[in-house]
Amino acid sequence: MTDEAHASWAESLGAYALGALPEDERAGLERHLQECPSCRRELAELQAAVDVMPGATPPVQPPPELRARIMAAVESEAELLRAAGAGADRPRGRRRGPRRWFPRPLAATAAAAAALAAGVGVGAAIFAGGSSGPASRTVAAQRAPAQSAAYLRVAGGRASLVLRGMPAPPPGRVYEAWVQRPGAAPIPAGATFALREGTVALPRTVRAGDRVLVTAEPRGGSPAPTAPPVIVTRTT
Amino acid sequence: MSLTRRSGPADALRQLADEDLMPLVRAGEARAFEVLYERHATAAFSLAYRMCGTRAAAEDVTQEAFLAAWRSGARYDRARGSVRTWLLGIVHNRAIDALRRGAVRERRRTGDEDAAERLPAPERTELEAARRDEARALHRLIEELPDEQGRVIELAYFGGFTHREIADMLEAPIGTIKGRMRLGLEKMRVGLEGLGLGEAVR
Ligand SMILES: [Zn+2]
Repeated sequence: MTDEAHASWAESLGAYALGALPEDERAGLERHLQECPSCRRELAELQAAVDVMPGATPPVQPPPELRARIMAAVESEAELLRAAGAGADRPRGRRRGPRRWFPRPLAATAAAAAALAAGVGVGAAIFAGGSSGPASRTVAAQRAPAQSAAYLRVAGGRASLVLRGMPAPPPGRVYEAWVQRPGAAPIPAGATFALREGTVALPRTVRAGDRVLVTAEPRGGSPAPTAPPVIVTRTT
Repeated sequence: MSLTRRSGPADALRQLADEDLMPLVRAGEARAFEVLYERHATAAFSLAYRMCGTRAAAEDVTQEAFLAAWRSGARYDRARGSVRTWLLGIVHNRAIDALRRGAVRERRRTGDEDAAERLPAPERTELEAARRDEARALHRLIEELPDEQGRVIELAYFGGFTHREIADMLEAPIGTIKGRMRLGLEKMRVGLEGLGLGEAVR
């Protein structure tokens, strides 16, 4: 690291703490922070001022329905976790990091809630048993959009996708589910949807070893995927 | 658990400090999370409302933020600050995302709110009254900054604008804008120490 590089990154610390650094500059500053204790120290000080900013906001009461909506989502996810069982082999979240928490080290705790993260690159976990009958298994998705969670529930060849916090599909598109047998191309699972929370039943039979994928397709669906999958799940 | 059986958190959970609720949240305890919601929803919603300018957008942002917190509770590290600061940081990020992707229409500038739409939170507890006093003190702190510094800090933090956008708006070089942000925050930090507010830097 050169002194000039340090001086120019240090200039941006206030903007970074305020969340005002454009995306393209953020990564560079974060790399510099990793190797510059002096910038880390100054950032911690500036961050202390930013952290109190919400306190300067006049209080406005949220509507009671908001609590009901949030807690309904939280409870259904808590139920999935309970169904998974405390000893289940949980995927460890490796997710897009929240911005501006960079200097705060990530807690390394293996946590049940991390199972809900289901971020890109997370391994599948098979949860045996559960609330939907002795023969049902619930699989956390190997890949799901950031800040959302997806599960595949399989019971005797009948599969459904359980979705939490999915982003809306891009304009003019819907989500389409696919079944991929080992070594074969994906075939339509028979379901297109724009659902962001809830359960989508898949008409096509899903067997052990199949993958279930979701892509965003033009309205009406496609005969074969035209985009990379946003959700990937695998049964065993 | 069905909605009709919902009964709210047990009093035992309400006795716990935020930081002691977090391990329960990580273990998937919905009730523990609900206590955090009770404590911080007003602050979260107020921040989202100040930034987005409409109740509908503020509700979306608050919901996204709390669900993100529920799903990523493992990332909270108590050595780095309070649960409240962590939660409000998530709200701030989410509101900025919403503002930048244009999800917030009829975006209004700060100070532009329709008074009738604003439902002030009642001061029910001493804690809330204390927070209101603190809000006044913080407000003064920002107001006492030189105009040019206070303005860029408000535009950045509450407006969600990048330094480039602010430089455009104020027709000033980016370097100048960055300098004002850094100096202004530094001044605020010194002021906070004087007020005995804020969290200790660890
Ligand atoms: Zn540096």
